[in-house]
Amino acid sequence: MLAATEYYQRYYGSKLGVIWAFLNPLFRILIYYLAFTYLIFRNRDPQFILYLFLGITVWQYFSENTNKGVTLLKGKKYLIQNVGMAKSDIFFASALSTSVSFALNVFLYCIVSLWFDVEYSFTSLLVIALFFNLFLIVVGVSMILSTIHLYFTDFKHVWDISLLLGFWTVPIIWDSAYVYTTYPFMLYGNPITGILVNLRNVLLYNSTIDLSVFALDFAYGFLFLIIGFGLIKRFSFKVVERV
Amino acid sequence: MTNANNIVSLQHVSKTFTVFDHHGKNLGQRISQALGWGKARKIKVLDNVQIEINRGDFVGIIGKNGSGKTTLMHMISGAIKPNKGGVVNRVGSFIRLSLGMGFNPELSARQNVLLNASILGVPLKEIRKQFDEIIAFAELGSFSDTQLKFFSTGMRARLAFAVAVLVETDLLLMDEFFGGVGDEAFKKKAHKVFNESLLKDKTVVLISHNMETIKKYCNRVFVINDGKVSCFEDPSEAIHFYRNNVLGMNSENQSNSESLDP
Repeated sequence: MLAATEYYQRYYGSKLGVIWAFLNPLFRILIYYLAFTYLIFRNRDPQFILYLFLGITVWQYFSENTNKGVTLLKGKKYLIQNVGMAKSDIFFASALSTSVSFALNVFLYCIVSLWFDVEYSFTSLLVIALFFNLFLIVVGVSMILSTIHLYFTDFKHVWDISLLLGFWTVPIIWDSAYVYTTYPFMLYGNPITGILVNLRNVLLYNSTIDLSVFALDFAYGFLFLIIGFGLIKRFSFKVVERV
Repeated sequence: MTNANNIVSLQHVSKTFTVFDHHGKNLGQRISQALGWGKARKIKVLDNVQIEINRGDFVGIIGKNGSGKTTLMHMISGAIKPNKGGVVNRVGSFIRLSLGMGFNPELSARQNVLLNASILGVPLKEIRKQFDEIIAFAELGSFSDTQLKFFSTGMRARLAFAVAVLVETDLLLMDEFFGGVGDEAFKKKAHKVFNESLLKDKTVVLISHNMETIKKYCNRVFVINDGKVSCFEDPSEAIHFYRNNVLGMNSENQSNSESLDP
C-alpha cells in the first residue's frame, strides 16, 4: 500500500497523472536520439542511443532511490511513531514504487530496440535477476544512508556530490569496454557498473552475462542489505528521538 | 515471575538525550557538531523507571510539560530504546493519537486512511467498505479527496480518531489528544464512541493534563517528576501526589486548576 501511495504521489496533481510514467521515458529516448544523432557524436553507432538509455535508466533508478533513501527514515517518522510501521518495510516499499518506472523504462526500451534490430533470446530473461540484484543494492544502500543521516544531517549534500561523482565513474556515457581493459577495479569495485555491463550484455548485445561479476554483485547486494538491516536495527530508533 | 497478562515491562530503564544548544559559529565548529563532536548537554529524561502494563489496563501518565511523558509513551510502544535497563515488549500493534498527528500532508484523507489502516492490518477491502462511514464520523464529508495540508488541526485529529475507531490494535496511545479533537458536539460523539466501542478489549495509555479524564478512565496512573516515575493504583491518590509533590500546590489552588479540557 505504501509503495502504491508513493508511486501515485509522484504524479499527484498533474493533469495527465500516471500517463507521465509512459511519456517520460518515451520523450527521453526521443531526445537522446535527436541529440546524439544530429548534435553530439555524429559518427557513433546508432545503437549508442540504446546503450545510453540503459545506462541512464539504471543510474536514475539507483540515484533516485538512494537520494530519497537518505531522508526516508526522517520522512516516514510519522508512520514509525504513530502506527509502528516496520522500518525495513519503508525501504522496500519505497524501492518498489520506483521499480514500476524502471520496469516501464525497460519495457519501452525493448519496444524501441526492435527498431534498431536488437535481438533477444532466453538469456534476455536474466534481466529479472539483474533487476533483483539492483533492487537489493538500492534497499541496502538506502538503509545505510538513512541511518547515517540521522546522526549527520549534512550527509544529504555529501551524497548529492557522491552521486555526481558516481555518474562519471559508471560507464553510462563512456564505453564499458574500458572497465575490462583500463579500469577493471571499477567493474569489481562498483556493483552498479557490473549490473549495467551485464544488463547491456543481455538487452543490447544478445550475449550472456559475466558470471563472476554477476555473483560478485549479488554478494554486494546481500552484504549491503545485511549491513543496512543491522544499522537500522541498532540505530534507527534515533529517528523518533530527534526532530 | 512472569505475568501472562503483562504486555509491557520496563525494568530499571533510564533515558538520556543529547542536546546541542547553539549552532557553531565557524566552519570548524559546525563540522565538529555535524559529526557529533560539538559541545553537547546531556538531559536525563527517565531515571531508573520500573513499570508494568497489563492487557486491558487503562494507564494515565501525568507530569509537567517537558517532564518526559511522551518519551515514556514512546518507550512503552517500543519506538525508542533506553540507554540503560531492559524493556520487555509484547505489543503486537499500536496506534498513537496526538494532536499534531503526522499523517502525510501531501496525501488526501482517503489515501492517509488507506495507508495507515493497511499498515495496521485492516484489509483494503474492509477499509474501502467502511471509508464513507469513517469520513462521515469525522465530519469530513466533502474533504475526503483533499490533501491533508489544507486541513485544520481539528480536522486532522478527527480523522485520526476515526482511523483509531476502525483499526484493531493491541495498544492505543493517546498523547494529549482529546482536547483538540473538535467542537463540543464532536467531543460528545467521540466520548460516546470512546466509551462504547473504542475501549473494548483495548489497552490504553493516556497522557493528559485533565485530571477529570484521568480520574474517570484510568485504573493505574504514572506520575513523572524529575525523571522518576511513581506508580499508583488509585487515580485520586496519584492526582493528590501530583498536585502536592510535583506542582507544589495547596488544597485551595487545587479546586480551581487542571479541571479544564485535556
